[in-house]
Amino acid sequence: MIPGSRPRNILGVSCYYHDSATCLLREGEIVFAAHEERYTRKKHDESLPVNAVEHALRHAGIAIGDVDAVCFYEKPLLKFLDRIVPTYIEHWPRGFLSYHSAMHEWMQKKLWIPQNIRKELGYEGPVLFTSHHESHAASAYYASGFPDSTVVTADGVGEWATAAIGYGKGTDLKLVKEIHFPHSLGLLYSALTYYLGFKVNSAEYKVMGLAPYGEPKYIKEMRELIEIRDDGSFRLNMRYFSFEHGLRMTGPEIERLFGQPTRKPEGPLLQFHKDVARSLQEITEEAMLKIVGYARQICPSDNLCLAGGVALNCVSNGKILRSGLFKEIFIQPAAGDAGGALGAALAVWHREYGGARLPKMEHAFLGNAYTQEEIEAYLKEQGLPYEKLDDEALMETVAGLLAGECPVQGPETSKEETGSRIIGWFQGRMEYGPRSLGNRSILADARNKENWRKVNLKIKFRESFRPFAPTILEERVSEYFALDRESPYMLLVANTLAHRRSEIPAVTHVDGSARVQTIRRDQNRRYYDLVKAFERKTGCPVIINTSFNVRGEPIVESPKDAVNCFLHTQMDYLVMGNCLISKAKMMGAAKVDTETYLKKFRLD
Amino acid sequence: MKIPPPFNWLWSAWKIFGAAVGKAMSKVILTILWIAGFGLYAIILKIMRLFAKKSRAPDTYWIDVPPPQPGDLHRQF
Repeated sequence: MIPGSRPRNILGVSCYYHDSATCLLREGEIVFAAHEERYTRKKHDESLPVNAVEHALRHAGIAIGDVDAVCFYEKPLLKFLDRIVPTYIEHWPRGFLSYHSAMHEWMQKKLWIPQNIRKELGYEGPVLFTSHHESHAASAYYASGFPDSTVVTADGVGEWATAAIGYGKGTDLKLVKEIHFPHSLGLLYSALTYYLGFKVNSAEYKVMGLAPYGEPKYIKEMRELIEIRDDGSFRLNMRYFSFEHGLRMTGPEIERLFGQPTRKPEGPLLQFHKDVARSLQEITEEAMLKIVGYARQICPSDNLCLAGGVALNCVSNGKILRSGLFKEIFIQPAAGDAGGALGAALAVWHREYGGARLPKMEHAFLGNAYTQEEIEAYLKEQGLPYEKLDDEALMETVAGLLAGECPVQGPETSKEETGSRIIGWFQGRMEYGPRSLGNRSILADARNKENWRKVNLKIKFRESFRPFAPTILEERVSEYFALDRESPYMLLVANTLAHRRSEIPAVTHVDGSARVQTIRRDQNRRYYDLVKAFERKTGCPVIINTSFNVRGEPIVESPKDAVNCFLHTQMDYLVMGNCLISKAKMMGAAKVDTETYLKKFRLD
Repeated sequence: MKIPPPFNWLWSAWKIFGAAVGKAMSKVILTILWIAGFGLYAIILKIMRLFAKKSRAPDTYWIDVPPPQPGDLHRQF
């Protein structure tokens, strides 16, 4: 930056498909990034992220007029005129209903991106457009800190590309190969997600979690659905999929192939479904391994960057890591479309402004925070009793509660007052990306097997098969897991070491694996100090970390959201800033209607 | 501008009617476009494909990505 000149602000925006988000860069440095759903409380909200933008500007202390460029994360005209319209023509007369629905969307908003941005944000400057997979690639490579890297992206679809290979060196990033729609790993996964009765673009990770319960009995059928070449390129057998022209992902052909009808949402989960999930997971891993293997051949580097929705498949990521093809791997925590906002902004910084590379993205705490004063003001306004503790006392107390210590010791202590607690933890800046990483989290003791059932059924109100993920102090990760490096974003699955599985049963999945998050003090001081305090008390450096929300609800953003979630679930304590709120002490202080609260959120 | 009753009720009813008519008209126009525009083009392409040579499966499904062009960040395509 030239001394005396104003810093350059770039706003990245992703919206109008799913998971809209914004990211603000100042001189290339990430100042703020957040998902719109956290503010609107509508999961996977796709609307223009006006609330996230407002918070971004407020956080940075600037106005919209101070933004030098806004970049949208894909090229809408290319998508519409080059793919969407020709696809309808190709499949005519099929696709009539889908055409009607799509045309309304496009005519009303998706063809008017610059106009909508200017109108809704009050912005008057230039609006730029990266390609979809360039946004994904940029979100990973430019945030990785690598001097050079092989880059692989894979998702449902962008304009045309569904997977891409590229190479980044210095400030230069180029995509060299891609695979085109309708042949898509992401859409294959989504189609089978639909077939298994789960929600598309929302519950693919549930299918991943279901897979360990099954056997790979349907690999032959999977190979009928997708042909994978040795170079990792692939082709779907479109006979079995209807997403090109229909309102559904699959039809009767796939039911004939597997010999079972499509599972109804919330219907019983049979062993068949688990076996299909497992088979799908295996074929996806095979494809990704071949893709990264080929990518290494044509874009050689010791480093790999991954992004795109398929990069959220942490089981596959773990296999890529263990393959030894690359020395270092960086996976963008917001690997899905929300991360496109970050990638778009970074691409503009480097390509349009010739900006310098910035250091590695060490954490994903990029949203807004609430001060201690704001938290206390809210609690007082609601008439909720709380205890304010200093930092050291807070960590000791909360760690003790997690470990099962009773806050009130004495002969009158009842059995109900002991036992490990489930704690809502609301601290600092909100996470960017789909995972809670210790600032908007529900925490529990990983040593207590009961916590798996309790948190699933009584707090998250979600399917009982879903596992929980551990947070572990980074310096001790290899003592508990078959992992020799950091995993700050919960995007790598590794096996829990055999002799540790009985020690931390609540975070060890049925096949012995765990989706690990490592934590260092410089990444998140308070969260690290809490886990450290827990370790001092118990000798165990591992706790359960699950997202602070109920099923179908976006992760909580504000004290109000946190209190609402806390009151309507069976969490024992809520910690916001330095305030400790006890459910037991609140009885009568707040009237709750859990059923009404849960009905606000559509099941995902 | 605040419209006094009963005109504000009439204005609301008119807006609702207008929105309903707009919805119906857009369905009609899109259907005409589907048949006359998309349909005509689709039929011509299908006939042309009947005479096109069948290409054999390529060695790879990877497609080369054209290099970025100057100024393409400023375009929606």
